[in-house]
Amino acid sequence: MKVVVCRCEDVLESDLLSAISGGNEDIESLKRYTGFGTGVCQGKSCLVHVASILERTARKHPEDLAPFTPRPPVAPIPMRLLAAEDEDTVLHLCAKAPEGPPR
Amino acid sequence: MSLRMAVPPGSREALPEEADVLIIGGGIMGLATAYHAALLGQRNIVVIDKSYLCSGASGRNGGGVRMQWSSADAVDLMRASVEQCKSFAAEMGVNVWFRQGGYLFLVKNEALIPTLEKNVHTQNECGAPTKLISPSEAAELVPGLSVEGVHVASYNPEDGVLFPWPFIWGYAHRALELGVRIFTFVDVERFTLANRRISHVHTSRGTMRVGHVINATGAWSPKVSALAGLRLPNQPYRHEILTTEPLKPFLNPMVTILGEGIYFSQSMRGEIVGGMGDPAELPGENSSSSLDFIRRFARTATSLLPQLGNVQIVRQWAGLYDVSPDGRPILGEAEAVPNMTLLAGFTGHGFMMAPIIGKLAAERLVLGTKVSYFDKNGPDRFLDGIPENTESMIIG
Amino acid sequence: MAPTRGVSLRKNELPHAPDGAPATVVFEGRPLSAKVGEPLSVTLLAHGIDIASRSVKYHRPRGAFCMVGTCGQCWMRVDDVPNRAACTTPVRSGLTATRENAFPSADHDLFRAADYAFPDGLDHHKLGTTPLTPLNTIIGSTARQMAGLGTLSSQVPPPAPKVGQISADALVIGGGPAGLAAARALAQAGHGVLLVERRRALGGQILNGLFGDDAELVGLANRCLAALSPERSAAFTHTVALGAYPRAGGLPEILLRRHYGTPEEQLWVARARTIVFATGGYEQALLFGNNDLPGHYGARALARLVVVRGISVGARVAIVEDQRAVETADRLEQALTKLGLKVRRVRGHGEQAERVMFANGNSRIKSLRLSRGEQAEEIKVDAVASALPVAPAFELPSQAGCAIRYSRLDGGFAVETTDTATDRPGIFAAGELTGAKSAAAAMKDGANAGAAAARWLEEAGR
Repeated sequence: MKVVVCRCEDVLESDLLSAISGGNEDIESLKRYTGFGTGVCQGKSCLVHVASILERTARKHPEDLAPFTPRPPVAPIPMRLLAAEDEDTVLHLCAKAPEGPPR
Repeated sequence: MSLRMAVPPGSREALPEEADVLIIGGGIMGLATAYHAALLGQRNIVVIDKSYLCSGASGRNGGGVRMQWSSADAVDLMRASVEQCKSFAAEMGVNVWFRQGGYLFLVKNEALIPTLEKNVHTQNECGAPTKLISPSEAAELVPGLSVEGVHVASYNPEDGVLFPWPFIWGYAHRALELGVRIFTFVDVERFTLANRRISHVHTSRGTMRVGHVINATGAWSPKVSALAGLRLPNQPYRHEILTTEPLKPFLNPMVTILGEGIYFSQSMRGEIVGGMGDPAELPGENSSSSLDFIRRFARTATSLLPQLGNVQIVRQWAGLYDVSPDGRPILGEAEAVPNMTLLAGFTGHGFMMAPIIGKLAAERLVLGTKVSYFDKNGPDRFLDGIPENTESMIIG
Repeated sequence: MAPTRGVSLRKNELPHAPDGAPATVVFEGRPLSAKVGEPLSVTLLAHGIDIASRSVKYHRPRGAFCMVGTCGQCWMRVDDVPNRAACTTPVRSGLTATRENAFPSADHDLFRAADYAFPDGLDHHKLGTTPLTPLNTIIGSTARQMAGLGTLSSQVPPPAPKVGQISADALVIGGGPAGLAAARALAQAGHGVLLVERRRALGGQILNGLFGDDAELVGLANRCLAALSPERSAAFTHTVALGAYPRAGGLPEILLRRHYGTPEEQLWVARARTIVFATGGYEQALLFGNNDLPGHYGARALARLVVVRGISVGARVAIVEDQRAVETADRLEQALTKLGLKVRRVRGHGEQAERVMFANGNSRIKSLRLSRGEQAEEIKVDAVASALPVAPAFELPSQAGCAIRYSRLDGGFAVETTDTATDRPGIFAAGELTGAKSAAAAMKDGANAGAAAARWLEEAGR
């Protein structure tokens, strides 16, 4: 019976345990070997399970439990939105009127 | 033999007291060299890396492998490398998902037309089947491609893309089988030199007596060289890259605009993986992600392939190119430090060159074979100033 | 609501389901009655369509879980654009949707053969490593055809609106209990505030229908809005914060996507002199065999679906919980029982601790096998709700340079704070983002963070 930990990439608990016992005792190496966290949700639904499994089974070095580098975007963005130019005006939400050019 | 690990066994343990060959840098360059050297019978090889395997450029690149270069020796080497990539899965027992969909170079800058033509000619002379093609032929290769402003293009169907991480594991695993020892999370702190030769390497995990040192540290190679008193002009530069949602296959070649730095291709998982260099980037070890990059990439990619407008970017990251000022790698030994071999300065194409460079470096080291590519690209060429940059096919 | 002729009736709707303007969506060629503005997932579940997608490798059926656009299990093709989350796609009449990457259909997918053929999993690293290179190439091509969740849209989209620019005294990311309290405190101290919230209304977990008895929480969104003066503050709902990018001479700038998934969507870049992160966290699914099949929801997602949207997931619900989320489990049980559902609590903690060993079912969860010590029991269920602490949404603070720390008790990687201040000057964090806590505690934490951010602005004359 499959216990699916990373649903985006179909990574099973057995895959993770096997990879850990094979020496992948840090999250970055585990991610690369099993592919967990590389799918569309980027670890939102599986990272903490993996950290918990790792803490339980292996963890020798504190830095091994560091998550894989969180990178933008936190949710997928269609390229058309990013291809747009900046608006010329700035909306100021400030107590005082801005002095000088906006930061 | 089953490969179950991306972490070599014993890699976090104490270092041995000595190594005949110490390879600093556990990226593909160091590991390919270690593997080939061990295969040739070299004993007591130790590889050290400052972090986990795949942490450097070897784990961050877009997986492109091509023969389209401007110098004949680079073309020859890359033809050999492509052959190795093709048979890697069968020989090393791990899938690297190599797909030969070709590379499509588009020229929008009129001044670069003669450059492309000359380069294609050079490639053909070396036996690479690159063709000069028209904009409409390019549009046929990539349905939906906008060829507005494109003057001419080149296409080599034998160029391809692969998935980098398993490459590292394949070399590491085979190297381990052959007796190489690999240690991770080891920082090199200083060298002791005697009679211009490195005699000891002092690391965060202890000191080793060494016979020969190989500097395969990529972006960190100038720093490591400096530890031996060698000042080299290569510098690290950030290059950003991104990946999208996975889609059914629709894009066959890697697409790039010559001189503009943008490239993208479709991975085996269906994601569009691409990057775009920033001419304003300053040298440094910055690997953070910028908003500017994904905006510039999105703007350029969607103008090239408008259907990409609906495609979602899922992750962006960055890596470091080890940039050589004349566009040529830095290979071999400096007279000042004769027992440190440099495998550096690959300016963004080290990964694709590593299969062949690792083999040649090993032959040179173990058998004493003369390799003209090394002789022509030695570190001492910078002693009289920086030679002219003649490599025009840099991407990224 | 009278359906038009030929349009399927909503068989899974409960009497208390809210009204809505009628709409018709076409799902895989079938017209379905819908309500304008409801999430597409709700429409589908109202019609008993619980298989939302098929998984990447084994083509196992998957259903909605988080109902908030973060778990990636409900991606489908919407209006000829692939890979859109159905749970955050607001319905309008004429919307078309199809599930992809299944053959002949997502309801009966032949590619699930991989699931049956490899009961213990398939190591994809060994695929295509035969000694024959040409054979490996063919295997690679086949694998490539299998990959990809959807087909590239043939459409060329219209150009997007220009990217808006905001400069604010304070930026509060997250409009749940903590964020609302923080924004209110900052506004009351006289500062200009931009409040950003991913869902279409303010409230976060307060909107899940479980806090009806808590007047303070229920009224918080209105109290916050009342404090935000229109000349110098704004609340951007239906806006997701996408990334924190380093900026010379100031705090990281935040990329925002406003009205995502609608034709009006637009990016904004927000720069502020202080930032309060109150991004809460992501619901997690308890691990057990077959936990990925349709019918398994986050507890808060289930509450939203059943209590607020009035969609029936069946008569029998099991709440599987651990000790860190007892409040959620208690409230959910109360709410579901009130609606006449039969609820079974499966407590993973305490003297009578029970473990879920696995779920039975092929296309959806039909029963759970439980064990308590030596004893085993099988219970029939129509749906399972996981009540676990949310995993703190640490990505944005981490991109902004804030230190995080793993703790199982806190639900995952929590942002480290000292009295709501992170280790980055000017950046504060509050609520479940900094560790598991009740909604009421999150609100207090947010108020403290807002006050601390306000003091920080004043102290340096910023």
